[in-house]
Amino acid sequence: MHLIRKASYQQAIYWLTLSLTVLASSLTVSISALAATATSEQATQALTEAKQRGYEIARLADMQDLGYSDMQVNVKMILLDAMGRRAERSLAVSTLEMTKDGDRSLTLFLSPRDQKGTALLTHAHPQASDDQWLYLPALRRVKRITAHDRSGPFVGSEFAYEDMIRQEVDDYSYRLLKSAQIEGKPAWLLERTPKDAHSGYSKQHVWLDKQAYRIWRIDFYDRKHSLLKTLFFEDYQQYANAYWRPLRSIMENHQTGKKTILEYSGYHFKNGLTTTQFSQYQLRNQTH
Amino acid sequence: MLQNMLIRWLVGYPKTAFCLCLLLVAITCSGLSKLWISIDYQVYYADDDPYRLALKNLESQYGKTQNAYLVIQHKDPKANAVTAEALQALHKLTESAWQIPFSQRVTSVTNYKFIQAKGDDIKVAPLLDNPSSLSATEIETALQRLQQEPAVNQLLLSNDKTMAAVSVGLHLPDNPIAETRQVTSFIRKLLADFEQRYPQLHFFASGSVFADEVFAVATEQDLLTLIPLSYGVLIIILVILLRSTRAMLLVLSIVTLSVTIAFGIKGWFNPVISPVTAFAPSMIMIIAVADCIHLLNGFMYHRRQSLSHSAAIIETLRLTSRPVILTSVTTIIGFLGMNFSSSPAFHDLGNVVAIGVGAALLLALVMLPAWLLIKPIPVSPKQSVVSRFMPYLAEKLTQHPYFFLAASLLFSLLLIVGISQNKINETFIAFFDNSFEFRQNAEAIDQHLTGLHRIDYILPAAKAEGIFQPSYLQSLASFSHWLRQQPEVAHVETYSDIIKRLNQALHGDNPAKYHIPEKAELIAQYQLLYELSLPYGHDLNNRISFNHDATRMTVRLWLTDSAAILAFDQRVQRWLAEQAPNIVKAQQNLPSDTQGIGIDMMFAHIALNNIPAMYYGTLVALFLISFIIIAALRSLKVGSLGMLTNLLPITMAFGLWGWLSGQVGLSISVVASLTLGLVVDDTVHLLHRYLHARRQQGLSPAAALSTTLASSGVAIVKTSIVLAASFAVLAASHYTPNAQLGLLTAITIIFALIIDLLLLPPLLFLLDQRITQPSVIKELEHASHS
Repeated sequence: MHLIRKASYQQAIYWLTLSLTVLASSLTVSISALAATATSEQATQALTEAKQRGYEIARLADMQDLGYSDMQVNVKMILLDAMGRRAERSLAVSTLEMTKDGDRSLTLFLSPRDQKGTALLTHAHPQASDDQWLYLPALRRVKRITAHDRSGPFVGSEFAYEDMIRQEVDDYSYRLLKSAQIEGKPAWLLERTPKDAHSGYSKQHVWLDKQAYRIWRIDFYDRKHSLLKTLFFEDYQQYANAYWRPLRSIMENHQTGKKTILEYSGYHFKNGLTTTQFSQYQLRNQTH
Repeated sequence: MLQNMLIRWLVGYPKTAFCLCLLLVAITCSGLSKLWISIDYQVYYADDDPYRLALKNLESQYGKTQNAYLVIQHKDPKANAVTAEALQALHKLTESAWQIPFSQRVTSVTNYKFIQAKGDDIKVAPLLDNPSSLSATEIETALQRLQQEPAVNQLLLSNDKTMAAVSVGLHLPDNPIAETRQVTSFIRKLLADFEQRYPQLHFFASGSVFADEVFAVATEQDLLTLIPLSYGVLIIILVILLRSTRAMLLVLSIVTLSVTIAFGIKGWFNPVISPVTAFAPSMIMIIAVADCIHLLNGFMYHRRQSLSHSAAIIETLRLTSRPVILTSVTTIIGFLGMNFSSSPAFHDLGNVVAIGVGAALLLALVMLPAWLLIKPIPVSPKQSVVSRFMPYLAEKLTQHPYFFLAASLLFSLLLIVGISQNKINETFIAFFDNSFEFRQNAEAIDQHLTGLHRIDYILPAAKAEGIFQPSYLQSLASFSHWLRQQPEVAHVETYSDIIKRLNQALHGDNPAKYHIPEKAELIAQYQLLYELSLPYGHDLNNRISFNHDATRMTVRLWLTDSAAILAFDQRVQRWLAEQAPNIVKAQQNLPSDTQGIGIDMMFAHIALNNIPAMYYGTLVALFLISFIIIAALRSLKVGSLGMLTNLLPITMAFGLWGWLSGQVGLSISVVASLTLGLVVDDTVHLLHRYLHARRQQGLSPAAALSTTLASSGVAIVKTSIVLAASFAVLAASHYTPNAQLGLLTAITIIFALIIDLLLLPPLLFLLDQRITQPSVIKELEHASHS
């Protein structure tokens, strides 16, 4: 009798503990689920906000250049590999501001010798594929390049063509990651994701200062989201009392150890260039 | 004197001695935690190896050469691998391949950038980008055009269309231990997923990451299977020979601790374990067992002579420690001789085993007797079969010395003739037996699609921008044309093909225009046009140097052996010297060599370079060992006689190898050095005992021979059986170089036993009786004076 009572007493305690545990854990689960919904709602809201802010900052940065009308610059491209070998190319680049369409740019190859006089004309389009033509002096003909993808390395360098030219705001979607410091200045850190499915990048991290919206650094992530390259801009100068341009930009490839330096010289703004100089029909004559 | 003092101390304080040994083990084994298995084939090559430097140089310019190769085949092997469904799978697989960690380039027929021109519009785009939207005829035309591309045919698509591949270029960091595994397991998961989605198709992979991985797998397999196997065999043999479980356990502990000390010390100095070093624990165990057997054999012998327990130990240490020390020193020298190898992996093996042998010697001489004193083991009074057989053998040998001499000489001569059959050669794929998935895949791909071996040639032009010169491109074109006619060649990738194709496309796709243009400017500008059209991961940076002064030609060879690869490379050099003197001249201005570059070339050269290196190593070790033995035996004649009979078993083993296989690769090339120290041991024990009988006991040659065989002969037979059986176990390795090393070592040890029992005694007997008797007597007098 005594034994039975003892057993039932133990059983009662056992059941009590079990039911309490179940109750407690179900409560915890439901509370944390509630909390999770709350945080996920908050997170969605925060994300939308970060996206809006990001887009605004990108647009503001783009606006800084508004009214530059046209620009010419000489570019010396220095290619370095991990063992310190070096190669050089030189280019002359002109760009024309377009209000209703993407900007137009003309790249004239000055060296290597066998490519001298070759000219690349690009009409950028914010929503569609860009148009590109190449004038080949040896053939005395203009060829239209209809590749839908500009992500390959430009003349063997670490720059893709899309890294070198001014970007259209709507080529990317944006997200403001945080406020940061770059070169001792307060800055924004933006994440931008290319809209073009053929891009070689999954995302880019862009640092621009809050003062003048100058880009100081871009981290490029490849298709598998690994850090591929970093681009640094150095020695910003102001031209025509308005437009900031770097004197050097350095692209480092983290995966191969190769590096390309662009040295800019002779910036000229508002040269009175017109669409005629940026027409595929005039391309042949532009280069002489 | 010193010896007696040490023995007395040991007998007086066995527990202290035992604890000191344990302390040593504890100190050294802290290094064990530092050890890691390297899966990098680079462990085989010295840092300044010219072929390694050439590859490094190439990779710094053209990107890393590591790759993965994903293959699609229909489950029915005769069926087409480019049906609409298979193409869809290929397309998806190509897309997914960009997600492979460290991938840099991904190419397949579905994303191959085909050059098309319509008027002045140039389009460089895939023909099969969206295969599901294309009709059967469209696919058929696209495939026909693609198969005419040299960069596609026999690399991305097989001639008979039964296999299609995604080629993935990878850029792994240096010393990729975890990374290679990360890549291969990602690919395995990816392919398993595709197998499920496309049940009619078979997906498998090959490439350099899998080759690297298979080395690691082989190493791990060896560590996991060979060591337990060695233990198993040792336990069985020890129980049979010692007839005491406790003695067996004692020996096993000593052996295990020796390995622990060796690898602990290795951990401090050189923590990398390569496939070759994985072999070391088994070797140390085997050699340590031999030491223990000699000591225990002596101990049991003396116990049977009804000496007291501690007296037997003192007597054993007094008599046996000298030859055991001597043989350990010779073994250590033999293994240190491996430092002459041109491959650092073998330096490492030699050094670890040398340390292990030293540790085994110390433990056998201190720990073993200390333990015997603390806890005595029972000794069975029965004599073994071997012991009963020996007097009979001694009798026969002294009766018919000429017969035994002639018979064993004839036998060895027959074998030695086989040496001429040996060739320096290595078949990479045969490193791995058929149980390896890697080998099965490589062979399947080799049968249908393309070869596993890759050789790169860097072909410089005379100056910067020189690759645009038509004459240079003409040389490239005729070189690749010649290469494609060679029977070994599976595939050739060259820059000149791209220029030809561009010229054709820009001339309205006229096949007659598939040639090199006449003007450098035109070529340079065509290339620019092409480069501007190329997307990420399809650029020319892996083909041309960035200052346009050299291009890279990649040649794939069908599965073959190192001798064929070297012969092919030599033919290439000859052709270049005759047909493309401008390229050869430009090459002479470069720091790097003109020869083929790549892992396959490195493999082909290492066996070739290692043989002369090991030859010198063995000679030096032989010289040192002879010196020590002559000094220790204090007889120039007997000592040199012993050395001669030691060279014989090694030569015989290589002779037999010539008849059996004839391929001497990297691992076989170290056998001579490895076995030298081991086979010497038997002779040392025999001669030591014989001279002891003649000098100290003053026995006649016949009687001395009989005692020698009865005492040392028994120990020799026992240790030889242990050594040969345990090395033969290593032959069970699935990694052929280790298996062959084990097998040939076992053969050498058996031959050494035969020579030591059947050739050395009659020779010794005859020489002693007829020629050297006066000198031995002189030596006898000399010895008794000193």
